[in-house]
Amino acid sequence: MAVHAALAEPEAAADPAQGAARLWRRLLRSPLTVTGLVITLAFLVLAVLAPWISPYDPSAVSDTTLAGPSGAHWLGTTQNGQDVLSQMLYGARASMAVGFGAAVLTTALSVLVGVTAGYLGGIGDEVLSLLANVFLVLPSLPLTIILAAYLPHSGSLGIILVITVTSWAWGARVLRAQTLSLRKRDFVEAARATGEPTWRIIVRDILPNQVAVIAASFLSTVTFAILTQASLAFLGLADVTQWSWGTILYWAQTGSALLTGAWWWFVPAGLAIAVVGTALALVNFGIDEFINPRLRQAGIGTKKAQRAQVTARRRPRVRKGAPAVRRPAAAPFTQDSTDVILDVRHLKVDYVGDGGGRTPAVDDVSFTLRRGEVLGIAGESGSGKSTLAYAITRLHKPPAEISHGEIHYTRPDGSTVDVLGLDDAELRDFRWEELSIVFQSAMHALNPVLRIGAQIEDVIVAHRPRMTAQERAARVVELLGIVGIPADRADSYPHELSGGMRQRAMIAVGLALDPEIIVMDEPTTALDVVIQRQIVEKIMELKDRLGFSVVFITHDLSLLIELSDTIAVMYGGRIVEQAAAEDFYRRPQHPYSRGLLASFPTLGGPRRELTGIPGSPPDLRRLPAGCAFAPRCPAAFDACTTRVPQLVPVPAPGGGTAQAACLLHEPGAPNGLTGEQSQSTDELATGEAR
Amino acid sequence: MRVILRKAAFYLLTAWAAISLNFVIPRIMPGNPADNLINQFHGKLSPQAVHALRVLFGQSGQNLWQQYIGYWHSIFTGDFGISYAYYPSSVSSVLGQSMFWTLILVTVSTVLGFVLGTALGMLAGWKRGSWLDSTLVPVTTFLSSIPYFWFAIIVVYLFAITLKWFPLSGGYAVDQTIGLNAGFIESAVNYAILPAATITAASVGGWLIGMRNMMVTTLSEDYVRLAEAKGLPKRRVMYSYAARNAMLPSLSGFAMSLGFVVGGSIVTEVVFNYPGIGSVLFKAAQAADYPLMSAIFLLITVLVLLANLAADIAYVFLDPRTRES
Amino acid sequence: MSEQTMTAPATAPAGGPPVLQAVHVTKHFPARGGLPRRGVARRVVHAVEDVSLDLYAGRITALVGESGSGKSTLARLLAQLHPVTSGEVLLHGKPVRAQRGRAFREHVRAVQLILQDPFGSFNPVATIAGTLGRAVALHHPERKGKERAALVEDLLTQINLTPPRQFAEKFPHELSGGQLQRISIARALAAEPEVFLADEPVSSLDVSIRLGVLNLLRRLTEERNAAMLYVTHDIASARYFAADTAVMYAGQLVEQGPSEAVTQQAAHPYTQLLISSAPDPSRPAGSRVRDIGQPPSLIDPPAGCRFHPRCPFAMERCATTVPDSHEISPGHTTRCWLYADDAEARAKRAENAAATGKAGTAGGTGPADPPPTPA
Repeated sequence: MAVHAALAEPEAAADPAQGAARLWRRLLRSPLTVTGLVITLAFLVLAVLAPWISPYDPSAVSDTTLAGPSGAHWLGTTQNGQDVLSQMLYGARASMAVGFGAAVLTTALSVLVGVTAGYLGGIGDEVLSLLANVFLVLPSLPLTIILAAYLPHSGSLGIILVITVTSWAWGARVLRAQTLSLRKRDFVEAARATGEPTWRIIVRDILPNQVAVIAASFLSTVTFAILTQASLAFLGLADVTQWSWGTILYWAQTGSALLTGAWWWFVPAGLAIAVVGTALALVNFGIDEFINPRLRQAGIGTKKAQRAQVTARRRPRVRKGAPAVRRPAAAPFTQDSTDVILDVRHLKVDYVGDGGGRTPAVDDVSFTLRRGEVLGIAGESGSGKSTLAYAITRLHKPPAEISHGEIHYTRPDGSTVDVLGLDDAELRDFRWEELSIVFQSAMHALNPVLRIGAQIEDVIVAHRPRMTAQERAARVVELLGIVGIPADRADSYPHELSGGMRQRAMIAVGLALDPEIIVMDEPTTALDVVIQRQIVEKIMELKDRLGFSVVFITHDLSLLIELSDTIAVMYGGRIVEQAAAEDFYRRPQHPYSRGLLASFPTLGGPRRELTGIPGSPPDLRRLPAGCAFAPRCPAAFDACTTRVPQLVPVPAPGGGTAQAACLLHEPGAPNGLTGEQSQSTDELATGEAR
Repeated sequence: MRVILRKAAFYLLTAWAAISLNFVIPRIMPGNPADNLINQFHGKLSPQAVHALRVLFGQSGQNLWQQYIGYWHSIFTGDFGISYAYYPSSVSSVLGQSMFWTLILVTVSTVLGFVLGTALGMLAGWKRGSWLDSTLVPVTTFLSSIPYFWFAIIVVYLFAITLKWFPLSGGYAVDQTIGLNAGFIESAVNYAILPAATITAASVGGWLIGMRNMMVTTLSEDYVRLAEAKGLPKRRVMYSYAARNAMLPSLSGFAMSLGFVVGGSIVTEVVFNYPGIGSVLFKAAQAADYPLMSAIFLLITVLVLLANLAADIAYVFLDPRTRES
Repeated sequence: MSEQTMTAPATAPAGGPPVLQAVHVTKHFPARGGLPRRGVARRVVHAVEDVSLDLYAGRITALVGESGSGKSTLARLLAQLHPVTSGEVLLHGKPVRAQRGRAFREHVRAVQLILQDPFGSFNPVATIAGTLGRAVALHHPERKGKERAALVEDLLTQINLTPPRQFAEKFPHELSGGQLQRISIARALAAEPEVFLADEPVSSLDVSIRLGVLNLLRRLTEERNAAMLYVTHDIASARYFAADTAVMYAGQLVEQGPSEAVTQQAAHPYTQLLISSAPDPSRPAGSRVRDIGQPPSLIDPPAGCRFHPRCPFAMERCATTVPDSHEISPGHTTRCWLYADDAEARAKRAENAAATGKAGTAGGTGPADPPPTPA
């Protein structure tokens, strides 16, 4: 009944576009799938070879009636003395023929209807999908029985036709949904825009990307057809003189095989059907996992996931101290503050591959967040910034793993917590009481089937069990008010809010318990600039009012410079520069930072020259030796390709403490950056790039 | 509300299509089934019965439109003619006796299968990769690949013949009279346990695997990660965030699965000689009792449509996104 | 010039007649759900409303707007991927209505669309050579076998992916976003078009590699004397990259003109809002244009100027009548009643100038002082 599994696919498909060659390679990697393939093939071979390998004529009667398995009759004999093994082999022929024959026809029809309806759309689609939906809800077996009853003693062909008529609809439905989603894909639109004829787009763009789904539909239909044929034969509605697994069961049942204890007559046929069905289902599991790679991840409830993937050495942690003292009301943050609230030391996060290989996504990252500070972490795709965000909240999932480092959190009362050493219950308290997170896409991060109010309230229920329902409701209204959402919106579902409103609701969830730290992972990236501005101003206003500290992660450096106190720039999994935002903007120290700043077009002031950075961001799996930025760096010299630079303090223009991980800032560097600071900075800024 | 109305309209349309299909089938089938049937009775059929048969196969001399009108008339009056397998009972009386049995058997086992499969699928998905997951999935896959009727016969052999825990076949003990008395109900329950268990066991796998896969998919959604991050108790995350959302596709795919379960239970009834619609359909098919078959098809279709409508309404209540027009 | 630096936009003089024009183009999409019923007007999404835009050879025109503003729809209308509801698309002054068949291919040969998402724009199961080969086969059917392969290599060389052979046999997932976007451009080049319609060509690329792709686009426009429509949500990039900029809001074109004028002397309150919202550390910090609104529903858009419900300077007529086009300076026009020549508008205009001046909007000054004349 892989029918069922395939059902969920139109909704679940993560990346439907997958080719035959990749599907095949993937399938051959999974032992279960290979087992399924081998069993199916074995049955097919036996079916084809039946006339040559059968020891007897399956219909030939003999005197050895109802004999159990023996050397002469491996699977015993029937009440007429026929050899069960020979019947099974010949039966495989008919059953497999019906199974695969019906599957070929059904799949062809499903593809034709599904792809046509999905691609053409309009009235044709409405009519075809209505037709498919009608056939989908018609109970197929009763219909099949009736059609078969009208065509008594029809051979395999009749049954194949009947099965095709009754079972094409679900494949068509799945393929239609698939085609619809493919049609919206840019590569199909691109092909249309180049003026390709429709038939060629279907043949070359649509169908090859549906191979997995078509295969899944095909295999399920094989199982379904074999089962249906067996049912019909068992009921005597097929030609019972033609040997199939179903007719064997029919004769066994008429001959009261089990009542007389002749299990060998009865068991093999049913078992064969079940084994073929299971084998096909195994192959389909492989296909499902290919279509929807998320199926390969470990569940939340497993021990493995629960350990939260920390392999770093743990220190004995400080016990929870006295009840938290309220922090002093919003003292404005200054750069010379030493009131550290979060201290991350030498953090390393690896992605552990299938073969045990480790790819560091975050490598040797250290930073401190001070009370009331806004720390901006900037980085391009693959820089490790989001992995870092998840790791400091311990929300990373396998295969990510913290393999080294320490994270310490200091409460307002001065007691310190080793975050990596927290057990499950303590971690639950730490998250949201002390630290909360605002995700990038509120659309995905809010549960679509729960009301906004409920999603705020359940945090309070979990962490403040003593609060009454009225108090909670009042708090929900208060929180919505804080972020600027009308109170009556508490009863709305996420899809009923606009993008900006949803993001505000996310922030309200984050504020529910008045946390000390809020980690914001690209909270405004999906929004338009005007709405982004509204949200950012709201965040800054709330920060000033409520006094929390912020880790703000984004790729948008200009936004970050505007709102952060301190900026850390990540590249290739490491922090390459860290400085006060003002200093950073005025005088970036790392060549990468300079390149980034020189990539942004500006709106105000005179137009300046944009230089950009040649090349593209590195692949974390193939990081260059030495400095990851060296291949793109205009100022790279020999040592850069061999030595990994460490963050070293660099005197900042404002007298603060900037840090940069660049060999140019170490003594003896060719350009002598340490000595002739300003001059070489200007040289780099004007971009001797290529 | 508009969504539900639209759904209802769709099912009405489907019912119309099924009923019309039922009208068309006898008219397009090759050969001359009516004559065959009449010959089988060697002149023992009453003239009305012969006429009814001719009407069914469109041989009454009326034009197609008149035939179609007449066909609808007979459907609304519940007049499906006379059964040949149970001659001379009328089709409606045969159905009236058997429908009740099937309705209870299939409803109970479908609901049980759905609840059990969904619950186990939720657990398997929640603990994807654990021993529970790696045992449940292959076992239920195997169970659901087994032909229902074969499984039923094995069950009969083990529990009725060998262990004698349950009766062999039928719907109730012959010494009981049908009615709402304790003796009869006890006997009916006793007789229903094996068939119901068979259907439930064989259908659990489908629900389980569908639910498990959706559960695993849902678990990697951002909103589940946020729910964890919020420090919610594991149960709340599992039920309110993961399972509730994962269940929705199962419900929307109810149609296909229900058709499958109903089909399987028909054959199961035959094995248990259960006095329900399945056994009747089997007899009708063997005796080429076309009036009875077409009435059964209509009945099953209507019941399946109603069940689907119920599932759709449940869906609308569980998923606020569908409530918009 | 190096492909890595950029200061000023391509500024070929706007001489000669426009290559591609949208003339009073309107596009309504049927709203989702339900079959049409008799007697009930079908609900429509007013995606593009009465927009006119000209594209000139050798000149880049930016089309700026937020999501849902209709900018991408307009590009697709120009590409003839959707039929227009009313108005006309003119290629070299001749109206085109070519949705399918040979006429469509003729149009497409001259007008090529480049899409936003480089990862989605390629059939994942085809090699780069396969994808480019199809485009070549379509537009140069006479080139077969080796000749076609040579043309593919030539295309890859033109977009600076060298050695071409190394890229030709790759699958899309083996390449980076920047490389793929270049190949998108190569695919468009295969047709040797006169107009490029680039729909957010760099939005999904990392900041550090955007410049390279934009410069490639610019080089191609200049070398081939082609026209380019640069659709973007990033008005700052329009300033650097495009000679002209047009701003759309909720399906209407609200302002257009030379990029420097539009970004430095923004006339329409929406353009002003857009500019003051964009993050830009080069601007002095301070209060900005305050706004808590959001774009209207396009199924039931506001009458008159669609920005009026959010506009702090809205007047009565803004809610009833679609504004005329007013010329601010040569070539710089806006559809806004603030620039009408009457007392109320003058007063509001002064209010606007004061507000934007104080808010520290780009350029710091309001619109040009002498009362503009209606265009």
